[in-house]
Amino acid sequence: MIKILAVCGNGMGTSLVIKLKVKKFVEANNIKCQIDSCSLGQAKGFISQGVDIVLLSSQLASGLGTVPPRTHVLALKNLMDDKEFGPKILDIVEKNYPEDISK
Amino acid sequence: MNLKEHLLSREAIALQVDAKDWKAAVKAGTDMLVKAGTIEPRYYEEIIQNTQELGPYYLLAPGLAMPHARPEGGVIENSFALVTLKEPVAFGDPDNDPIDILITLAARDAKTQNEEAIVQVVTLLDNEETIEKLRGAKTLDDIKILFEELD
Repeated sequence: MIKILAVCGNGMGTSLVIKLKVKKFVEANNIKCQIDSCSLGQAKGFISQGVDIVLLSSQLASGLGTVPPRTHVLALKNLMDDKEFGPKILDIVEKNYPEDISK
Repeated sequence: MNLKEHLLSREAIALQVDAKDWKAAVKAGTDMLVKAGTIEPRYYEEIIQNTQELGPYYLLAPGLAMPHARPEGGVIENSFALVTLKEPVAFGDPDNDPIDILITLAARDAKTQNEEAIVQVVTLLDNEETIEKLRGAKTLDDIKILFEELD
């Protein structure tokens, strides 16, 4: 199952906003996934355990450092707009986890 | 912790505020909560200091901000404030500037913040039409009518 991680400065503000928006999007698109949220400081730990997609505000993206090849980083400008992140998530799921999309 | 009820009952709503810069815009929200007794004045300082260190980490989308700090930054009671600005101000983020709608968020603990408060803010702002109506609201009655329509 695809693992998604929403990240923000302290893990309590915008990462939750991203998580809610992503949850709504994946449910509407029948994608099975696990979504977590955390602070930038905790992100490395999560990513080392295997994360497919990291979403965070574009302002914080440089603070993430290097990630493994498995991990796609989506740096968002508008956190509320699923047109920005939606097609990218869909594309990654279709390429890597087609079985997790129920028709 | 119902966002709409809370804003109306606490009179934590300031519309068409004249704010000369982003700090004044943030302060318009925190001032109402200090007056209501739900945050300590240092909560404002926390937000300003964090912004200067990290950048405006609470901008959600073009025009929209959700200023907040951590619960230990001086939150007395879970609360929200709504501020709209007469003239939008820049927060220093070209992707989302200028900002003219702010929902100040103060939560006593992480659980409340995560599971209740932010859900309600996102639900309210997840609609272009609602945002336009907030932006256009001139009086408390405009907000009451809007909130009634949403319920």
